[in-house]
Amino acid sequence: MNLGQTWVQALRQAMRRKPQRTSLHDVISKNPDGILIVDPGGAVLYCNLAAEVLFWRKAEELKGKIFGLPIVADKTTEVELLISGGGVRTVEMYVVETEWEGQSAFLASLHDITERKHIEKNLALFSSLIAHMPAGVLVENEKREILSVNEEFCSIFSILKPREELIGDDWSDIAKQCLPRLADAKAFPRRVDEIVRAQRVVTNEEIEFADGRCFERDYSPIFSRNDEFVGHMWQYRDITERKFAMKKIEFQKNELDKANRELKKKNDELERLSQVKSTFVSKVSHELRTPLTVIMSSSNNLLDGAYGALSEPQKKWVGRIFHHAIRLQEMLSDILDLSKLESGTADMRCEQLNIEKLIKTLVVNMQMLTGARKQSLTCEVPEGLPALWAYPGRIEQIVTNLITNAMKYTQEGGAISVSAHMAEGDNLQVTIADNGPGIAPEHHKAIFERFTQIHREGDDKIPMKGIGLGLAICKEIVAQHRGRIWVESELGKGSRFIFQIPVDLRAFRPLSNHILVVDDEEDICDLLKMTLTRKGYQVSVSQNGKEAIELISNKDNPYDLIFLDLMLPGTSGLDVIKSTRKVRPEIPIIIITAYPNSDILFKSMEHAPLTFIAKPFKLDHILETMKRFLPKEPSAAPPEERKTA
Amino acid sequence: MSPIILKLYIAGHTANSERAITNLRGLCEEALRGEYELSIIDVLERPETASQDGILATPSLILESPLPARRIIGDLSDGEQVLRGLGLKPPSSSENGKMP
Repeated sequence: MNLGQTWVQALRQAMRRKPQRTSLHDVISKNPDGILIVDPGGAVLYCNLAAEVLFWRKAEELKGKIFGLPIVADKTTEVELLISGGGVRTVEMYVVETEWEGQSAFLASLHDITERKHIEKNLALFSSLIAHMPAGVLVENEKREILSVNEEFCSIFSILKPREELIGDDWSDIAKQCLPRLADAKAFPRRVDEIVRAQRVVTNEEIEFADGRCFERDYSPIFSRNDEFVGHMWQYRDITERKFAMKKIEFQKNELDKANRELKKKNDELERLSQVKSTFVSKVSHELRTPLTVIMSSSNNLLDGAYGALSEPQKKWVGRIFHHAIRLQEMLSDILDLSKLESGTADMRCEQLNIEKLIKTLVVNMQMLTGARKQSLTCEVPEGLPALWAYPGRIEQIVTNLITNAMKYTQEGGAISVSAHMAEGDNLQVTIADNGPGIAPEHHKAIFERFTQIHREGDDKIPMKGIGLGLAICKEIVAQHRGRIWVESELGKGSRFIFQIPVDLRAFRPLSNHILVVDDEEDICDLLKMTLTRKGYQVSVSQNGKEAIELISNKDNPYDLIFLDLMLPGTSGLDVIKSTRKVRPEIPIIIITAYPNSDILFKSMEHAPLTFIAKPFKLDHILETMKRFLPKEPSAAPPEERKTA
Repeated sequence: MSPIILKLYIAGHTANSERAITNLRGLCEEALRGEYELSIIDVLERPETASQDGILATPSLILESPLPARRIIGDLSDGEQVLRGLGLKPPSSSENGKMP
């Protein structure tokens, strides 16, 4: 109800009861709404203080001015007042006919609605804005009456009443009807009350509906320009699809995790079984050796006539026992060897290896075995090939194995050749070629697998067949030298077994005979320095890791070798190794350690130009170990000692 | 008879102004049979004109001719009262010449 109207009714009653001028003046002058009394021509006869404020003009200024005849009766109309100095205020005008100082007059009550109009205008703008928002929006005033609501909101809560008719309704009443649609009908109103009381922004609260839909709710209190609390704004965004997708992803992730766990379990089990198998094979092989040795020795003694002369048939059959015992022993060694290689327990101490010398020696030795089948074994290895960083015994094993295979499978009178040359990528390539029956392409990969034997032409003529481990062992050794092995062959065109191993890049670097000793124990440093200086080396000493790294990084210090203690204060020996590998990967490092079995040590050992010497050590051992990295000792007289900080 | 000259003061193109204009045009066409002159003045655009005419509020309708000049305030929704207020229609006997 309009304030002016209430007041006028009160005034009318008052006037009917007691038409006193003083009381009328009192009521009018103190009224919070503006009051104008005009004559029938529209001229202002009187204005109260509130009217002066509305017009921003003094009463004297207004009196006598033509306001105009206010032709409204028993209802209000909207009128704009022109303020002195510019600007407009909107008022609701209510007019009543009266008497003023004995003559007919009109009383106009002016109720200021400027602020309300302003809010309404903003709200209209806001309503058009929220109409097309992809979220359900509800705006309430401070009494929680609906000021604005969009279609999306009505649709989310399935409100049947037309949207336009909701304006002015109490939202809490409508909310009660909506409660059954929510998953938790008790929690919802409780939480809403909590939010409304707190008058604080709330974002991304998840609301679940009974039908499975899910919404994200934002709340924001609304404040007027004067920081006066005027209402609430709610927003509901549909996140059902997003939630569904997330649940799906979560489910898939769980499934994947489950599958992974099972896979890992199976893998672990396989690893365990493999370990069991290896241990079994290793143990059985070992256990078989003793009886085998007895069989071999006994049959050999029998053949030698140690227990009396044998008849020819006896000789023949004992010979067969001996022969097959040897074959069995070879098979056992192969099984043990592969088992060691695969488990990483095989001895793989690498050093600089002259491949030319190795091949030539081997070929000469094996040429003695070719006579029986009239085969030729030749070798083409150029001089000056770079050294390999390899374990000589193992490389010898590969070459021997491949030559033996070639001899076995190549027909009588066949030709076998061994050659070596540099291949691309600093790899040294060794080829063992024969003109035997060849291998069909489909078997090229399989022959390197364990226990694989393919039937080849002439198999029946092979005197000593293995159990198919030879090439698997070769493959494992080559792999441990970071190399690769393969076969090139066609049926009837012979075979070429080829392997490549990276050359030792350090072989190319000129030696400076300069050695760095890093150890925090002064006695060790002094001892090494004295010994090495005597041998003609120039020796620098550092007692901490940080300084050692600086020295190694300095290009003016082309060390040939580093002696390193792992247990250094501050920067550790392992840090020194890592830094050295970054700046000078080629420098060999000899670790002096009191803990030669530590995991870290074994990890860093793999294929790197690095080895270790356990404390306490003998000086002979030091010099012997150095020779593996620095084959030539300095010939010149001991250079002047270089001191370091 | 002198021509009927009317001036309507409004403040901007608000719903209130539009309502007053529509009401007045309808009334003029119907009751004055088109024999009138009407100018509409926006006080926000021509404040000096409003000031010269001593306009205090809008919508404000001024009858400049025939004399005596009359001025009424409101949204002009009640045509009868508007005409009487402007003196273009004799007051009904029942109301005893009183306005509105």
